[in-house]
Amino acid sequence: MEEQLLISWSDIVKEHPELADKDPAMAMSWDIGQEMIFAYVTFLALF
Amino acid sequence: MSEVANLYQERLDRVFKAFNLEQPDRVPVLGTYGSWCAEFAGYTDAETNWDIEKGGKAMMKVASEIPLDMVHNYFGRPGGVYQALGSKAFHYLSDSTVAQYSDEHAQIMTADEYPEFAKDPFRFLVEKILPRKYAELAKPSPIKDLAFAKGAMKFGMFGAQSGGIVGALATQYGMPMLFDGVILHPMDWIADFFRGIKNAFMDIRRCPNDFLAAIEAFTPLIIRLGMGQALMTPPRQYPKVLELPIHLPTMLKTSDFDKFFWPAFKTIMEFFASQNINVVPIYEGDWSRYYDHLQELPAKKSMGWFEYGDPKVIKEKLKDIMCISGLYPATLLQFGTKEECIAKAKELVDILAPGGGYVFGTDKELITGKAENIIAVNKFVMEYGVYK
Repeated sequence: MEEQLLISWSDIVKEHPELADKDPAMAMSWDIGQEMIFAYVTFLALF
Repeated sequence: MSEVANLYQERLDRVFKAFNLEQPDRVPVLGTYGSWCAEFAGYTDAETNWDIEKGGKAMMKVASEIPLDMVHNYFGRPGGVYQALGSKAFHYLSDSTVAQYSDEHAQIMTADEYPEFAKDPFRFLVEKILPRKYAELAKPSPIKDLAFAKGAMKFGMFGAQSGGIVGALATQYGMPMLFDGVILHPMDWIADFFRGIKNAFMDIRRCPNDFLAAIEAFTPLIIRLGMGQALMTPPRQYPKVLELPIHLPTMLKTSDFDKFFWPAFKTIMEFFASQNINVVPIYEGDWSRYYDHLQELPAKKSMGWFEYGDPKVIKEKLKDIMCISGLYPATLLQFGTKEECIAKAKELVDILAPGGGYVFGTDKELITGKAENIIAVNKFVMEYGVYK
């Protein structure tokens, strides 16, 4: 099975069901390190 | 508040009133200056891309000497990141030119890879796109890992330094910056940077379903990228703003626009509107065929930066939907006389300013231009554009 590269909001909710009713935007601040790597990789794909 | 803080607040209020389709005290003037900032400060574009201190000095010179209400972004690019990773696409034709786009270098994905891309776009970027774009990332570990980390360090430094420039502009000159981040439409992104424009147009005919599936799969990542940037910048009184340069639509048949461009664009615009994040699409080319589409966008949540088109028609059709900007020909600032430049500004202000919802700006980012023309035009708009 391939290792997951990005944690989706649905996976976060599986681990933290108390967040199920919250705004998915919370996923962005949930793990800002992941978001920074995400931004870095996607920006590298840009130019 | 200090004089500078007051100035900052006044400028923000002025611009965001227009954003909200209201009438501020006068027409706000947006500085849409790209590598012209480097030229104005006596640097080449390349110098500022490798030495962000020079980029910062150029921005300070613009903020202190050009009459403005706001600058749109920090113009520099992180040359060090591209260098650390061995970019094949980031290059200059000579020391004195700006960074060049090459459609040939953009062709790094084949048409038969669309299904793999659509299955997991982020994995495809990491495993396929990046090693093809960057020579260092195609090398075996640990060389590629070190290069990736080195690039990340430089990327982080660029973010911190450009953030410092934003802070310095605010605290020293009371000059706000409009954009908190940049996103692209997935179709433009795939065409401009993965397939090349020529290939993308062939894909529309040869494998339309695969192309569309890739656009749909990429859309959530674009939204995530925009949200991440909006959340990484400090909280502020007014909505965050994302820039969205748009490239291909005016080259498409309307039926292809409806199929490949519009659905994802509307999804993106509606999502950010729901998060109270404003978007500034840069409508490159003449969008007159699509004004009826644009009427479907959420009201008061975007500013349309138009390149071409009849300002009367744009105002008539879109004044209740979006703030209007752009349309002032950047080339006139380079080649026109002062009188010609001011006459054109008057023509646009007369049509677009009444009732508010208008921010004065050029049709495209300035790469070059005569400073005396820019100063004369901005001064004129500030004086002539006062609402009585």
